Amino acid sequence: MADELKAAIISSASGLRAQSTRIRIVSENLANASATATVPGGDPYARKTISFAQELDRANGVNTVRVNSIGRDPAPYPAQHMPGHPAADSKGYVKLANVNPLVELSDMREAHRSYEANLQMVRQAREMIGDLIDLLKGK
Amino acid sequence: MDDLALFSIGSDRNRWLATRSAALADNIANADTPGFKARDVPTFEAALSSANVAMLRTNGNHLAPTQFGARTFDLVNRPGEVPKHSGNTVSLETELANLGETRSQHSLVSGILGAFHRMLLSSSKG
Repeated sequence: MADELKAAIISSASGLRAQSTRIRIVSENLANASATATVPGGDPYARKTISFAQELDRANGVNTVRVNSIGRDPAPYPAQHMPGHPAADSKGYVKLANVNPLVELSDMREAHRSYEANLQMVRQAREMIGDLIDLLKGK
Repeated sequence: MDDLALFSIGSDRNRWLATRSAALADNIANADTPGFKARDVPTFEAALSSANVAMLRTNGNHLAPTQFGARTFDLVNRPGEVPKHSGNTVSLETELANLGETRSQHSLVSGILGAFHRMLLSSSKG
């Protein structure tokens, strides 16, 4: 078992990694919110989903978190009547991406909040290590 | 120096605080993991009273128990947390409050240890 304070930094670092992947997925969803198909009647961009799982870092004996899976949201695509659009089917309907910007923005806020909590943990573990080093300095 | 238990109890306390930090870091990292249960260390008082067991030496040839064996603290699921829809019991607010508490106690203990060390040094310098 590594030093406990180092263990704290390792698990927080895994949390930072996981949350930044989540932010990446959110930004991919937002960027593709109006991406339609390129062929008539085709499927547009499907919203990406992400889930986390607990993992034991065997090299250090530390519990960490990892990205479990990045999937696709199976929700139906909303259709809009836009005849003349390159992706319109024979009846003139275009399937739009199943991305709801409000859901994505609230997900982004939540990821940001978790990211900050992990960052605070790293900062504090470093300060605690600093306290111990100050003992050696005889301050 | 055996009667000066302050150093050993101080370092035990700091080790407990470090273990607690690792537990809190794990909780915060897994704040969005489905089914994860928040964990914590038992109180320092409980850990001290339960872990104070040494093997008895009935023969001079027996090995003495190690004097400097680092005391370790086991993690338990934190009781009384209400699970979210995903089965996760981590509340970031609770974790951050515990984190602040851990931080201030760690600097208090380190400060006391430093002050005690300076006292010893000044008495030995005469």
